[in-house]
Amino acid sequence: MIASINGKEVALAAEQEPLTALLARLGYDGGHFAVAVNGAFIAKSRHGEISIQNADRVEVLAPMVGG
Amino acid sequence: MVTLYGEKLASRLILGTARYPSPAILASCLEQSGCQLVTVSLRRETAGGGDGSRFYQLLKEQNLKVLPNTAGCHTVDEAVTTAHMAREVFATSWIKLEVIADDDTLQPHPIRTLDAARELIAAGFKVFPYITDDLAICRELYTIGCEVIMPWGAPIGTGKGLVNPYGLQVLRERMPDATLIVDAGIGRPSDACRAMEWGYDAVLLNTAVAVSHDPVTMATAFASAVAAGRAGYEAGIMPPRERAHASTPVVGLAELLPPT
Repeated sequence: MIASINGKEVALAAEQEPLTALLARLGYDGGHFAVAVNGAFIAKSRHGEISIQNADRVEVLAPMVGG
Repeated sequence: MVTLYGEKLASRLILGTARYPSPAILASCLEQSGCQLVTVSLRRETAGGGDGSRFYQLLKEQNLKVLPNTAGCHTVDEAVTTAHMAREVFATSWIKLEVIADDDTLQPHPIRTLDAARELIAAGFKVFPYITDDLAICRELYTIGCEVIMPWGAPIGTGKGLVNPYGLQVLRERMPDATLIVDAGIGRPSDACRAMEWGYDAVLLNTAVAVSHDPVTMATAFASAVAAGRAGYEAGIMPPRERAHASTPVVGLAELLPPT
């Protein structure tokens, strides 16, 4: 099972890997970031309800300079 | 003092945070210019990197208010999703709405911007739309609830200044109650000053400061220009005349020609 995390292929640890577990495993714990799965924003309060499966696209965005 | 969605800011200069030579120079520019509101964005975070948090910390240390943007979005869905993500990360409902129509000119897409603004306002956002200087679309955005409208001076990053002085002045005259901010394209301090003399409420710029040889001095130059332009507008600028009008009194002028 492969998912895309910020455009890079990542092997999932299970058929349905919890989003919180995936983020922690990849080092996205703490700090300021927001998550979208398959183009839909997932609020932090809902991270625990979501699991990632094969071919899902996960975007993890953080503050950046901008004009 | 300018009021944006009920919040008062002493500085009418809004700066972008991109393209500076270093975070230290960016910090000096923000501090020396007296700017209180900066634009920021969201981008992919490297796993375990923490770069985003460090940048955000820099802004927080300076007690700056942030205006997240939706730069790079071409569709309503992208812009709306980005806005929701920005609201969570930056803990603000303010959003600079950018929906781009053309990658070469970075011209905003008026119809999609309007559609996205509607959706975001319904979701509780305070929308700052980046838009062209078209009176009809600016009015429509204002009517649906955008208290602040941000017409472009010129395409982003060009430094061409205010390419449509007539359109921008008409906009100011025809929308006296809207808060209007010239956003994008400003290249020189005099561009910023001119917009303020026309009665614009603020200016937003980035590249003109960030890529100058001395960004800190340029940031202060823009701050002075914005303040001067606003003071001129408030003092009342004289209308131009077609003919010369002596400023020194004619009464009491000596007759110094020798007798003929």
